[in-house]
Amino acid sequence: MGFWKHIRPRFVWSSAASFRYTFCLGGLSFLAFIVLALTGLLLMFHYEPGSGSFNSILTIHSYIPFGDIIRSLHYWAGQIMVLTVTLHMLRVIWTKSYKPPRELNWIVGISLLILTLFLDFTGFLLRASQESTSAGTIAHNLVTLIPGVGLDLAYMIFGESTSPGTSSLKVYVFHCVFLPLSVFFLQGYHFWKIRKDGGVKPL
Amino acid sequence: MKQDDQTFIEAPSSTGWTRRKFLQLGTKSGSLAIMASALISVWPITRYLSSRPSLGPSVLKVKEEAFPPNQWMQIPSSRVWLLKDERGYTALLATCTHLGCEVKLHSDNLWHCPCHGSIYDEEGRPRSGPALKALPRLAMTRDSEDTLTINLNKTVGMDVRIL
Repeated sequence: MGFWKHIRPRFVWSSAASFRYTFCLGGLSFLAFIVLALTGLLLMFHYEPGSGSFNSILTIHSYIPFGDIIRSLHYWAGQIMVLTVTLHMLRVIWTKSYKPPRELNWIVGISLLILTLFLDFTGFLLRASQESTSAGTIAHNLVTLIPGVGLDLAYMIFGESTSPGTSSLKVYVFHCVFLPLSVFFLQGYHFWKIRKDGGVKPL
Repeated sequence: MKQDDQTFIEAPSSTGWTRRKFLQLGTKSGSLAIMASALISVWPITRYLSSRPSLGPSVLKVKEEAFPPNQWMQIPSSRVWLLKDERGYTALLATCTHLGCEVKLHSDNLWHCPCHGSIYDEEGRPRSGPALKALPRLAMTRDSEDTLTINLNKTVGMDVRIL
């Protein structure tokens, strides 16, 4: 239970409690993540991966009661999360918080940034619009260029190349299960490690 | 203010507010706001989850020529079977009246339900098994010279025929 003991520290440095030291960017990213998890879970009840995906989004957006609000919340929380996570990284550079003893948490944070970008991209692919299927084709072909494993890897991630209006079941599983769970557990470690490394007090 | 009520000593503040009081109020109103938003989300989320986007067609249109006489013929990709006898056309819905599984006409000229073993005779009257009611017949209208329209939401008696 070291997690809960470290997440509520005995004391916090007053300088670390200052709003202007962190701008709450990490916390805002976590809030966006919670909104994304809740709205994403709701969207899974009506979204159809595969050939019906573009139509199912149209149905969610224009027919299902409150579907437009839930989808818009998911979309905008996603946009905001990419923004706040990036700004959070810039803040960490600005306050030099990547320095010892926090190198490991910096690496974890970079992993979280990459995972967030992958979540954003796979979410974009699941829209199955003409634009996003083109992006999917490009990403698929980029992965194929990796010598040796490229073709297998591309099939593992994207499945068969898709036509407009169609989304890949594999991308759906990555977006809804694998990536969010990885982010969830890495986030837990990230928060715990902040306290373990001595809060957010300046060096 | 009574002295013995105070359990700790706060730093004096010109407004009467302390950081502790402020944070306690913040925690309380924050939890209240979360509970209130959870409460008002119940109705929208219920509506969202219970919405059915596709109800399916409520009528079937059939070309007359495809059906030979005195023989139940299934309309492809539907549960509707058509029979043409000397009195005219009748349409049967092959849904078991027990719990709704799809029944099939077997080579013994009986309708068998795969789920709980209900058996109906050729006309759709229950013979054995848990089903007590006959297989429903559907209302039909003649659209044009060679097209029949079957209403999937309206049943008629077993003896009704359409010419």
